Amino acid sequence: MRAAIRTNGLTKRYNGKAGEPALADLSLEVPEGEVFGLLGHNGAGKTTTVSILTTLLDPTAGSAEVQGADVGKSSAKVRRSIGYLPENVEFYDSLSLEENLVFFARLSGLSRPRERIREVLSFLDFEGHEKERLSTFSKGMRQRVGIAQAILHKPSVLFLDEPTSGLDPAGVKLLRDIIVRLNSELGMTIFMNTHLLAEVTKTCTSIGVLRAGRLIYHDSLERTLRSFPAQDSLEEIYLHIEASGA
Amino acid sequence: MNATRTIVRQEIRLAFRERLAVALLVVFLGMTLASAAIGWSSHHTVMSVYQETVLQLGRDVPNPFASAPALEVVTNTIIYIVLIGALLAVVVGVRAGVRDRRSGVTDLVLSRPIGVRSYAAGKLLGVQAWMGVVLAAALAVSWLSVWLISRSPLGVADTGALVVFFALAWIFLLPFSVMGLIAGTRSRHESTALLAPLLIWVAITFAIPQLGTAQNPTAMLNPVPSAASTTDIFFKVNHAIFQPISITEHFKHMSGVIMRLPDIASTAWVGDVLSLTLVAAFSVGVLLLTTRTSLRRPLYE
Ligand SMILES: Nc1ncnc2c1ncn2[C@@H]1O[C@H](COP(=O)(O)OP(=O)(O)OP(=O)(O)O)[C@@H](O)[C@H]1O
Ligand SMILES: [Mg+2]
Repeated sequence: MRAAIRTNGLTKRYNGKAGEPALADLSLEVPEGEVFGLLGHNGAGKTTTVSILTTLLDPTAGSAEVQGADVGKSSAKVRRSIGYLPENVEFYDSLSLEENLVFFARLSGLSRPRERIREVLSFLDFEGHEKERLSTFSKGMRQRVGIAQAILHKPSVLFLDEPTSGLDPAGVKLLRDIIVRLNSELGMTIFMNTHLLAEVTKTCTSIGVLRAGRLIYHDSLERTLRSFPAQDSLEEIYLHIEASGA
Repeated sequence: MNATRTIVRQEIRLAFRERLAVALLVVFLGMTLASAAIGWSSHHTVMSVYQETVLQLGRDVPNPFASAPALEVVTNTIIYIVLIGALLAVVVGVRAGVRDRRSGVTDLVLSRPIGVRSYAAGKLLGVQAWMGVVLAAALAVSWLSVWLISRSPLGVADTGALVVFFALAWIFLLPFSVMGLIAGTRSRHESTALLAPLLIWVAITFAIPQLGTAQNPTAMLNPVPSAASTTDIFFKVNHAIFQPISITEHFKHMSGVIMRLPDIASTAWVGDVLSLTLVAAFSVGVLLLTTRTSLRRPLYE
């Protein structure tokens, strides 16, 4: 199977920060069609990794490709093939849902955004709010706006940075179902940063664990659950890996 | 190009939704009206003195207003553009710069197929489009008020002059929009983003003219600039250094030429145009040096 994401010795050292780099020598392959969950404590380097893969941040060393295009040399090509939902994005509060989505659709090069917006909102089961201003939206609704803008241009790879953080259980379940459907029905490869291990068990097909900028574990979810029979939940497995460096 | 147009449209839409931008528009139009009211009041006073004199003399004398330029009643608009207009450009620029960072949209926009320069250019054009809306509204208010005061609509030549004046104002305000934008996109703290451009505005409007491009301290509040004293060596040196960048003085002078005001010293305007366009072009150049890294700097309250 073709790799949707491939990194080679990816390293990031932030300016003026001495000591260990934020991301060290990351070599990773995520095949097409996977739902990959990147786990790690706060400050482990998850957002740094996604920022490089979404062409926002230049690596200090190493290289990365998304759908065969280099994130540095062919950033325009990478941007056309990806969708991105950053952490804690709030969009334009004074504009309506539709106005927000039209803006992002146009930025992604769609010439007839309204039709596509209807399609996406119906896929997300999120119709009827088009004319409402975002200032009236709950956190859960905003996350759905976030997903909507990320998939408007039919990307083949979707990057989600902690998509379920701050949501209530119902919101978490809703978003989880959406992620699963994006993968199974639309065939999108999904790269997701997360802390919520219960979610990972229900959505991801493979996981990686970052500790202090180093990838210390990478395997399919299925094999992971099988290889740690002593632990009875992914949470325990994760804490075990994190602590021992597996 | 398409992406830039998308940013421009978005900026205009957001400005119309923003209470502060709309409030400033209203204030500016209010000032334009005030300018006309002041013009009307002095016109009225002079006219009644004139009529009184004619009555007392018992014979006809030439009407002083017959020879006055039609646009004289709106000359105060020049100073409102230098003061309120420039402030408005700075504030709207800062807001445009800060907004995407505060709402976390910057990363999203930069992950779309749009270059950093197209983004910056779109922001500037958007802010300047909003300033265009403000100036066009002020133009309409000025034109109508001259009509009301002098009881006859402006002729083609004077209307043209008024249009040229507001077009010049648009170019004059551009560096202030850029300063606002740069401060808004780079400042570490939202609360201090206004500080740097305001200091530069104060320097350009109040300090530099005093250092040698205007004759006396009150000249900066006068719509018509007075030539600097060139006898003093201190003034001579400062004049040579600051004159080219003293855009408020150039703008005031050039506006006087356009409106054909009687009390301006010289009608040479090439230097004014050069200074205004060079400073505008320079500021655009600086804005286009924006990088992805500088746009992604974190913003604190
Ligand atoms: N812009 C920056 N400048 C300097 N250091 C940074 C910057 N962004 C992140 N870092 C540092 O790099 C390391 C990795 O940060 P990163 O945000 O990638 O972690 P994370 O895994 O996403 O954490 P979290 O779970 O808190 O979101 C941290 O030590 C952080 O302090
Ligand atoms: Mg993070």
